[in-house]
Formats: sequence, C-alpha cells, structure tokens
Amino acid sequence: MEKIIEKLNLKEFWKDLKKFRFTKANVRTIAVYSFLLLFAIFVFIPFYWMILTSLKTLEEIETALQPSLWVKFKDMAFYNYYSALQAAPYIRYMANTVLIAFISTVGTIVTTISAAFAFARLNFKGRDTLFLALIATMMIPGEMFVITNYLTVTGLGWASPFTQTFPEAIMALSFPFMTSVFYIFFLRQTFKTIPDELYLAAKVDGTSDFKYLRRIMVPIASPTIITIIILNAMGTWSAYIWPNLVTSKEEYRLVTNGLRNAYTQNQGIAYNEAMAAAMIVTFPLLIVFLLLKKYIMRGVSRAGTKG
Amino acid sequence: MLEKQSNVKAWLYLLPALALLSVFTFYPLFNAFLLAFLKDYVYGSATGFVFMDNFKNVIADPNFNQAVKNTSIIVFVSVPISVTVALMISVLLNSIKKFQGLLQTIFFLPYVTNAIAIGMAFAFIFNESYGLLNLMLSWVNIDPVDWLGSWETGMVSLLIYTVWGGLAFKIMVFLSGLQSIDKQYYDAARVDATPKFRVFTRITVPLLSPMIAYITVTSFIGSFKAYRTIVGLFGPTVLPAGTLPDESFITIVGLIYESLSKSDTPGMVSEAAAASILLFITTLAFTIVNMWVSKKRVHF
Amino acid sequence: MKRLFMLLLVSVFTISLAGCITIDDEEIDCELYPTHVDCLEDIDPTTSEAPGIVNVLDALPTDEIIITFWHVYGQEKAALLNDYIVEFEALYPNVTINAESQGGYDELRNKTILAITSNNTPTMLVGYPDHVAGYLNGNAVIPLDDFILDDTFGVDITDFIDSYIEENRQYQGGYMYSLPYSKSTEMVVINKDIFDANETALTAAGVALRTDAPYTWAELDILAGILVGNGANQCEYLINFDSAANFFINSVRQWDGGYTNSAGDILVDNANTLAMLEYVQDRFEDKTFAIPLAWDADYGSANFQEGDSCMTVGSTAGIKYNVPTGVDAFEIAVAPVPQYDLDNMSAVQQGPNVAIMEDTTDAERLAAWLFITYITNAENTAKWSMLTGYLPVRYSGYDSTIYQAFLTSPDADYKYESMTANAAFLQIGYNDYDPAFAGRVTSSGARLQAEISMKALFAGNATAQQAIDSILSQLGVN
Repeated sequence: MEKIIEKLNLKEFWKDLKKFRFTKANVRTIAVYSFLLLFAIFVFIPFYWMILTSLKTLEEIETALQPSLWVKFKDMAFYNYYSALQAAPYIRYMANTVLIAFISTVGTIVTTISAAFAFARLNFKGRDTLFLALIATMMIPGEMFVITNYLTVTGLGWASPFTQTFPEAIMALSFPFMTSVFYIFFLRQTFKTIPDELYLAAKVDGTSDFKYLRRIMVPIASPTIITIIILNAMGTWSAYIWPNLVTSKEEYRLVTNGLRNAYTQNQGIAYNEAMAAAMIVTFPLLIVFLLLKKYIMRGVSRAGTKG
Repeated sequence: MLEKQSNVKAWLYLLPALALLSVFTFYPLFNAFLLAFLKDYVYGSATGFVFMDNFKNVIADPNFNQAVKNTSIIVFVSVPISVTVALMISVLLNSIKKFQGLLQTIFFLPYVTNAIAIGMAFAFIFNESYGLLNLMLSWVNIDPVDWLGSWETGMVSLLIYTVWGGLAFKIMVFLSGLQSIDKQYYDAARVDATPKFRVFTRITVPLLSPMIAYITVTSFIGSFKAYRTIVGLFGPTVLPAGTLPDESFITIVGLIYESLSKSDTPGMVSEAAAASILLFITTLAFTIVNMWVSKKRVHF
Repeated sequence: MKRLFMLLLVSVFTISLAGCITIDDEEIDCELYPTHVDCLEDIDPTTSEAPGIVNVLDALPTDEIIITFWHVYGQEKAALLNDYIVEFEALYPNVTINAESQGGYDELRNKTILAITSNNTPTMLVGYPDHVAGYLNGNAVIPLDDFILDDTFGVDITDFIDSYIEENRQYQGGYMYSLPYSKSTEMVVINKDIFDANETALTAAGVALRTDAPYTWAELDILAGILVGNGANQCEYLINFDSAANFFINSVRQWDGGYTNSAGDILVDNANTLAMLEYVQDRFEDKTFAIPLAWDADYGSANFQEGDSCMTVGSTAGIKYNVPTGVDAFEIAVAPVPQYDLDNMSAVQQGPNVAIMEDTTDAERLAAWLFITYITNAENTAKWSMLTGYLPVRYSGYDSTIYQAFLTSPDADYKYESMTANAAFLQIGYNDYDPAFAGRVTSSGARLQAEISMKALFAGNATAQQAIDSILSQLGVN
C-alpha cells in the first residue's frame, strides 16, 4: 500500500497543489485532468460493478429494489469467492488457457512480424492486392469461418469425440489462432511510421533485411508488439465457442467455458458467485497487464538507431 | 533479376502467415462463397446449384430493412465519435505525467471486465427510475427518460454503449502508436514554442496517421458486423423490453446469426452465407473508398 | 502471378467441392440407408410388430465398447449421472461410458449439427424435440422401435407416461426417435401466509386455498378481488407467469385456439386465440395477471418472495428459486396450474429426451440402448427425479416405494420438492407437448414470437390483434 502511495507521488502532489496559481497553463492542466477523469469514471463503472457484485450477498442482490452502490466491509461476502472456486475446475482450466495463450501468442508474434515486415518494407508484385485481400477477410462474420474450420480440424482427426488426446486438443485449440490479419495490419501500420531513411541507410551499410528487422524495426515497434501480445492473450482468455466445439473432454477446456458453463445451467444465475468467478479469472490478466504496461508506455529512444 | 530476388524473399516472409491463413481463413471464405450458391444445403450435402435464390431469401426477410437501417446508423454514428474520443483521450493521456499509469490501467479495464457485469452496469446506468444517466439529467432539470424502452432512446443508449465498448482497444492502439513517434519532433516544436494545437494537427496527427487509418478501417469493418454488443444491452431478442419486432435492433449480422441458428434446416446455412456476402461486398466497397480517401489525405 | 492466383482459386473451389460438400439430388439408396426417413413406411404405434429397420443383436458382444454421451448437466447432476454410469459399467464390464457436458442446450445442439456434418457424432445425446427434428433433417438419429419391441432387450412402452411417448412419436412416420429422460412441467406456487390471512374472505367466496385441484381462471378473478391491492395482506399482482411463451402456448390450448402443429403450420390466426389474448390483456390491466417484465426481471421468483405477487407459475425443475428465505420467509403451497376450462385442461411438458445417433455400430447401439433403459428404469428414474427436480418418466417410477414415500411422507429437506411432485402428478393426464419442427420456421422461432407478443401485450405496446399480426408477419405467414 505504502509503495503505491509512494508511486503516486501524493506528497509531491500536495506540494504542487499548495503552489497552485491560476495561470493559463494550469487551467489547461485542470481541463485535461477533468476530461480524462470524466471518461475514466465512465469506463470504470462496469469493472467496479463486477467487484461490487462479487461481494454482495445473494439476498441483497435479489431483494434490493435498487442496487446499492457500496458494500460495507463487514457485510462483504468473501464467501462468494470460495463457492465460485468450487463451481468448476478453474486451476486446470487456467493451466490449459495459459498453455494455449502461450502457443498461439508465440505463433502470432512470429507470423505477424514477418508478414507485417513484408507488407511494410519489401516491394513485391501484387503486394497491395494481397494486402487488400487480407483486410477483406475481416469483413465476413467469424461464425462463417467456424463451420469450415470445425470440418478442417475434425478432418485432421484432432477433435474426435472418442479418441481425442490432449496434444490433439492443444493443436485444435491453438492452430487457427497462430496468425491474425487484424494484427498483421496493426503492425504493418506501426512499421510504416518508421522513416524509410533508416532502411535505406541500413541497406547502404549492407545490413541484411532480417538483421534490420530484428535490430531496428522490432525494438522500435515493441510497444505495438507488446500490445499485440496482451490482446492475443486476452483473446484466448475470453474464447469459449471454439474451445467448446473442438474439445471432447471437459478437462481440455478453457477458463471462459468454466465460467459460462457453471452459471448458465439454471434459471436465476447467482450473480454474486458468477462475478466472483469472473474476478478470479480476470486477476491473472490484470497482473500480466500491469507487468507489461510499462513496456507499452516507455517511449523508444531513437538515439541508438540513427543511421 | 534483383526484383525477382526481392519477390522471392517477400513471399518467404509471408509464408508462415499465408500458410495458416489459407487453411483457416481463405479456405473457409471460399467455402462461404460456394455455400451461397448451393441449393438446399444441409449437413454437408446439397441438391444442386442456384444463382440468386439464397440472396433473394435474405432480402425477403421481414426484418431486412430494419437490419440495414440499424447497421447503417451504428456504422456512421458510432465510429466517428469513438475514434475522435479515443484519439483525444490517448493524446492527453500521453501528454500528462502524474497518474498516467493509473489512468492507463483504468482505460484498459473494460478489456478484462466480464460481459455479464458490463450488461448489468449499463442496465443500471440506463435505468429509468434510479439510473445514473437520469440522475445526471436531473441535475440540469431534465425529466427522466426510459432509455431502453423504445427504439429511439434505445438507439442513443446503444450508441453510448458501443462507443464505450470500443474505447479500450482504440486507446491501447493509439498509445502504442504515440510511443513509436520520435521524440525529436516534439523537442523541435518545443524549441520553436509551437502552440499545442498546432503540434497536434501538424505533428501528432500526420505521424499517427497510419494508426488512425488502422483504427478507422478496422472500426468501420467491426461496426458493420455489430451484433454482440446489442445482445449485451437488449438480450437475445434485441428488442426494447415489451415492444413488437418493428422496434427491433436487429442488424445484418443478427440476420446471419438467425439463419445459422437454423443450420439444421436445408438452405439456411446458404442464406447465412448469402447475407455474409452482401455484407462483405458493402463493407469492401466502403473500405476501398475509405482507404482511397485517406491515402490522399494522410501519409498511409 | 495473376494466372497462378486464379489457378489457386479454382483449385481451392474444386477441393471444397470434393472435400466436404456433396452435391446429390438423386433418390436415397434405401439398401444403403435403411433408417433414412424417405425409406420408412408409416408405423402404426399400436402394433406390437418390430419394424425391422435397426438390427438388434441377440446379445451384447464381449469386446470393448466405448459410448460417448453428450449432455448439458453441471457438476451436481453430472456427478449423479456418474453414479449410474459406475453401476452400469459394473453390470457390463466391457462397456465404457464417457459422459461429457457440452455447456448449455444451444451449445450442445450447435456442436451436434457440426458433428453430424463431419461424421463426428457421439453415440448418444440428450436433446429437446426440436433438436431431434433438426437432426432428422440429416437422418442422424435412429428409430428406437426395434429395440422397444425386442424380445430380449425391449421395454414395456405403456409403462412410460403417455404424453411423453406422444411427444417422442411426433416425427415423420410416427417412429420413436428418442426416449423421455428429464421431464418437467409447470406448477403454481402460492404464498400460503397471505391466503391464510384472508382465509375467512376466501372461504366465503368459495375460493379457499386448495392444492389438490387447479383453480379456474374465473376463480382467479375472485381471488384477485380479495388479494390484489395495497393492504398488509395483499399483493401488487395476483399471479405471475414466469415464462411468457409457455403462458401464451398453454393458454391457447386451454382456450382451444390454435398455435402450431408438427408440420410447422402457424395457426394463431383464429377467433379463440384472439379472444384469449383479449381476455388476458384485460387481466393484465386489472393486475390479476403479470409476467416478470412487470419488474424488469427474467423470472418472477425474487418478486414472489418479496410478496409482489401472491402466486407464481414456474417450472417444476425451478421450485428451489421460489422457496422464500431470510427473515421475512413465508410458507408456500404448490398446486397444479390454473385452468380456463375444466373440460379442456392443459399443462405444458418440457425437458429433454435421449436419442441414439445413426453413425454407430450395432454393438454401440445396443450398449447405448441398454444404458438408456438402465437410467430410465423405475428405480433410477425415481431417484433421478427426487434429486434433480425432474419428474419420473414411467408410471412404475411413480409407483416405486421410494417415490411413494417421497410423495406422501418426504424427508424434511425435500418438503418442497415433494409438494411440487404431487402437483405435477395431478397434471399427468393432461400434459401437452409443444410441437417440434425444424424448417424455415422453427418451433423455437415460433415460441420466441409468442413470448415477444405476450410481453408487448403486457407492456401495452400491442393490442391482441396486433400481437397476432406480429407473429404472423415475423414467421412469414401473410
């Protein structure tokens, strides 16, 4: 806790506040912070709702005529978290999810970086047409892909209801998600912001394309690459339609399957337990984000990359 | 000779992605095109080919006009608003020092918020008798509105909800893009004492233009496919509670889902495929125009 | 490059054609596909002669048999099911049963449709009648009549509840493509404390609390006169109907109006259905009837517990949600659902059946059949019902010692389940099923429109005629 306070620099904040004068710059600062704060609150409400609901008793949720916006500490139903953990084998699901997220993210990063590089830096015949064709694939709703992909995966023998093994399940779960047009497009755009001069200078120096990609483009684009890693992991975390289709055993499924299946069986969902489960599932994601966040926001110095 | 070599190299770089894409993206796409021209397709077999019948059935759907209307409104209203708001938040967030990390985390939170919680929170925000929105309106003496009770007010709620739903991703993309901009440009501007707004229009926007183009193109594509957000707000009937289907929030993708939910009936998967192709053609035409315009205006 | 691309395109198209889509408009080869619907002759359900379409082995082979069983049950019910599996596997040591939950009913159905397309189906599954009707469009489940009538492995089909058998025989030709498994019906839960507090007035009006026979709609009017209001022992609404769709469908039947039939015809355009809706609209207005929309809720249970309605109609499988808890808890009573016309009574029957898939060997089919008969035998259907809130599928299940004990002198923990079972038992003679069909218009689509219309009627956004017109136009009947 103290560490957080220290990080927020509250003391300095007070000092600054005491010195405060209504100058034009200060008014601007106030406007900026008010704007950001307003939207931050707007954005935060549903997350707050999730925490709040996870700590309410079922009776309170069902009987309150209007939902209360606060739970006193002594009334907090931490028991929800205990019951939520009993509702599905989350540890197993979590392990599966981490594994799949890891495999599909590594795959995505490799395929995305190389494809984005080709589209952003290399000249080849049909480049723009192919690129448009890739973008065009995003214009068909995902559900249309599911039908054929299911047939492909079962055709490969990876999803038999009788004989599926864990490695087969892993392949069925991760292969279709080892590349993504959405991220290729994203990274290509980032690569495009890197000035051509750097590339031409490297060419003059005799640097190979691969070396240039690895030494210069990837480091400069690292905020984008980290963002892609986070988004991709998030995608695995919230996937449920595909994992439900291609796994024959319940123990091969992912966290969101556990979350959904535990609470969609009956009428009258126990929202507090469902939200407690959602919090448990969300927690590792938040940690990952907090750990990687600083890499997104660390502006990349170009000093070392000057040709 | 040199060009040929560079061609080969480019395809090598593309190979891993293209190999996977051909199996899991292009092949299903071709299949979808094929399905749209099959007669009475069900469970992997069809009785022959048809040319326009599946498309005619899509257009004959009693809710087709409503779906086109709803989709158009979502596309043309929500995308410009959400891109502008996200850009403003990102640039401002990037410019501040104190609380930057905290705010950045908060703007990321929608990504890890459970869908049920989002639905519940917005049900609270839009509630007629005790909702947050009506509470705020009461501060400026505006009478309470039943935000989810009719198509007109429901559309306003839906647009707010849609903008909310897209913020987290857009802010993340813009922030990562802003990080890739060379600080030297800003240092130069500071030395010249360039006004902030000019810095924004003359440095930030042009240098961020590839990201703006990316967000604009993908947001338009995404909002052409809007449906899940609507189910999140209005439930699976996509109706304001207690209204008849002429107030429906159905979209084109909603029609596709409806057909797919009957995929055990001959011809219904083909109808979904036909509707997908109509959507595909519209989106593609729109995107090409969009890219052509943005190519003229920004360096892309 | 362009030519290469075109070549690629054409070849992919050809592969697609050859790969997983077959184009075939020829007649079905009945030698090859004896169970295809086009090859079956209509069956006379009263005959005791096996149709001879499915080969029933004389004895279960002794080599290993693996059965995959797709269901939708969560941890509790799955654990219970697993007990039966352990017992069954002890009886037949060479049979292994893999029972796997596929999530909810929609997930199970979607997955099965894809599995049928890719010849990747399980051995058996649970499903609603409209699911089975859809699977039959792909000839993917087998008729069970040969097993039912088999000398060695058959069952006495007259022991199954008649209306359940009718439901499972509604498909083409009158064949039985599934066997009832987890059935439920609706009941009305009554706030006994409020009825007791008004006992004198109710008795004087001739509508005293009773659970051994349904109230009539006329009696509901009398009840509303006494019980609806702002007083201490009164409610905002008299009676809530949890499922607007069931309310619509069941009321249509009670009024002898039209809804749908198994052929998929939409029959709501008639005078009785209109009269019913007009009557219901009046009762909505004077607060006799309500649906959960009254409180912006999906179910009325929370508001019933709050005393906002004096009675609530809901699924027998959901009784536990209507049992009040906490300090203000009141006593409840459970009765059969109210009827408009005692000469034309009707109560919904719902819940999944169990079917065997076509893409299976004779040995697998026989093992699956043995398992189905095992889990639906008198004792097991009774036990399953007592612990899950479903109802026994056989008369002998009701007659079994444990179930009789459960009905007449239940354990304190099962008091309310027992009340529910008693109410359900009274309705056994007039349960009706919702006709299942899977065409351009599906039975679930019709059901959804019935629900939407009922809600619009309640909200005052539609007249009875507009409600009917909306159903007709949405379902493409003009």
